Amino acid sequence: MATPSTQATVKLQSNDNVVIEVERAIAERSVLIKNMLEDCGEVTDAIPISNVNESILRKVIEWCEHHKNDPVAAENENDDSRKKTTDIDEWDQKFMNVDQEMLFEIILAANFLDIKPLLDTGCKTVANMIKGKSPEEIRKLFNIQNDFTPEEEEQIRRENEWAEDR
Amino acid sequence: MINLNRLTSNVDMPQSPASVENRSSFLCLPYEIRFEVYRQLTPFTILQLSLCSNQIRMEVNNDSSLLRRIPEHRPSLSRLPYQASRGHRNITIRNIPKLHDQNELELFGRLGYSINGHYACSSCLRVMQWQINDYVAPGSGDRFPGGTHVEFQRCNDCIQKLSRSLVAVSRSPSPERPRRPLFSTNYSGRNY
Repeated sequence: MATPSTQATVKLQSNDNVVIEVERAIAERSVLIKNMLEDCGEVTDAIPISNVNESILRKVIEWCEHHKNDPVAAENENDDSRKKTTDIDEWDQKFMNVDQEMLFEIILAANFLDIKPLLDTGCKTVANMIKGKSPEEIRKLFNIQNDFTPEEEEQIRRENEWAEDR
Repeated sequence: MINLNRLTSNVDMPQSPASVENRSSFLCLPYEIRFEVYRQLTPFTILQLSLCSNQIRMEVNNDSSLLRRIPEHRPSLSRLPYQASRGHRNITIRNIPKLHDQNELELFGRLGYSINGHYACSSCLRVMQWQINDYVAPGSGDRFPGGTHVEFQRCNDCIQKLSRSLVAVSRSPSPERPRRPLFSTNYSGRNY
């Protein structure tokens, strides 16, 4: 195993070949990068983040910078102990106030970089977008094709009637 | 990658290609991320989502743990006042014991569930079955009739609770206001 490094900054390279230098503590909000740095020790070359483009990487770094002092959640944290849907703090709400494409890209980047709190916040934001909407409104929101056949629609209708004798 | 406690789907879902051009759609997110979104939703919203497309319907209905994983609704599920899931694997309105808030109550009314034998109590938000002496035309109309006017209802429990509290209020003397004599008396001391 490599010896622990005191390196202050690391370089991250987006998939469009832009290199961004960030504080190591900020980059280590990503478990993927943290593990990589722990395994490799001192890294002078830029770390390629192959699935994330520059704009998304900058957004993710912005989030990590804001949350760099947050306590790291335990690995085996119980699902029930995680915050509920409405509990997104104000800064995160503003941060996630982006177009849908970028929101999904941030979620994918958080998943790839293994930043669980950011992934949670992204998923909660999507959940909040769905809340209070009818199926038709949800289809419109996410551009989902209604692919139910008339027979399936009829089945759904019957399932949602209140029939005591079933 | 991240342990979401649910890394693989138990359904053989048609996987959308995760190409860069096509990855910005909800259905193109990996299943484990969609599942994480579903996990944040209330049962009534999960029901609405399941009615969007076959893929989502399959994902939601093939995961019986989904409703139980919503902590705040878990206790209510064990004391459903009706035959919730007997013979049904699919999530239906009968699986929804209670709405979450006034927005869901409004959506419930807007979607016309009330004409299909159900109503939601506007006070406790429980989803109930119409009683035999309630006037209702079950099964009439479309599944999602637009602009349906639905009057909000209160369940019997809430009506009784309300009337009990009204009676209690009317019987108890108000501490703030000085008690006035029941009859006014004139200077001669006679009641009028």
